Amino acid sequence: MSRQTDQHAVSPGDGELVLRARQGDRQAFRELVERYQRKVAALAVGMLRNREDALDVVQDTFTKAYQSLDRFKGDSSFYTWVYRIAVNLCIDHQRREARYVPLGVDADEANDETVPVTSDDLERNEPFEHARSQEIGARLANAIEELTPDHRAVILLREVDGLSYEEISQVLECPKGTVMSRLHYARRQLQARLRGLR
Amino acid sequence: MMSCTDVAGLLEPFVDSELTPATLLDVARHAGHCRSCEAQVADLLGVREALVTGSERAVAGLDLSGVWPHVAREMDRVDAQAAWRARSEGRRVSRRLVVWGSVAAIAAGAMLMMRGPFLTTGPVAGDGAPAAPTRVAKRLPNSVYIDRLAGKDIALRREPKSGTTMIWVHHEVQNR
Repeated sequence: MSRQTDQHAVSPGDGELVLRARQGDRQAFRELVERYQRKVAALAVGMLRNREDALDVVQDTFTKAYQSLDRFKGDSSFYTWVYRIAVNLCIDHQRREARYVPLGVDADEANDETVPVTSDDLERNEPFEHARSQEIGARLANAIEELTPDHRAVILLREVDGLSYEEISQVLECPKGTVMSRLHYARRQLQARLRGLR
Repeated sequence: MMSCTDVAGLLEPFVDSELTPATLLDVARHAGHCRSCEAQVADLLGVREALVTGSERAVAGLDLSGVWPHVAREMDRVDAQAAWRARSEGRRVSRRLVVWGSVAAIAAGAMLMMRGPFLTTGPVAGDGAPAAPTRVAKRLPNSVYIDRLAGKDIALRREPKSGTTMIWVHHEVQNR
């Protein structure tokens, strides 16, 4: 079943931290960065398929958030606002660079054809399972790369970050219906790629 | 109970928990009895699982320890820029004040100079001493100025039709 979306519910902690950060409390902003950097990183890696670029986007996202903190009205939650900045930066980056590194999370890993089977896998007698999951990962990577940035953002925000349709529409600044149709299209594409493996 | 056609468009909102509790239950009941719809739900959940697993692997190896130091450095830069902007804005305001102050002073001086010839003195005081001049500007009619100029080396004639005043200058005077 879907992962909980209320894990992202507006936390009073966020509002308070934003307020303190606005008043010049750096420690408060640091807490916000540390609270959301991993989630933003997951989104950026998914969007850009490159760790270095993703790391740059994470840093730029929080720098931009700090610069625009006075403009954050609080009518959406802080993480939705930060995600919006991150998605826009990812899309800008893709337009600028127009280079896509094959998935495998990292170029080095992607080119490494001999995927090591861990002792964990052997202990559980799951070498086939491991190979299957590698195959799924590779196929999924290809399918994600074929998606447009908008479709990619929608599926990652929904499936990886667990945002609701409403929250995704806030992040991407588009109607809820558009979110649903993009999500449907992206899912069909990914399902077609994974067919036969599960 | 719902049919497959009823449920077709609801399977995605179902796995995303975007349905009302009542509809959610109806779809769950149908999927529990329908192999085809159950398989579609499993497909959707499979994609999710694969994406989550891939993302977790990707981020697990990512070193985020440098994020905060980098952001903190950028914050210093942003703050320094903001302070510089505030200072230069202050300087700009004071420069503007100086300029407009000077303009105002020049304008006031010019007005005083222009008003000078039209000053009239006030009435004489009872003991014969002149009373302090009252600074009342008095605008004289144009004819007075014309009369002041006329009668020397030049003559002024007014054209009644057009109302234009012609200035006639003596030939000798002009050649002087």
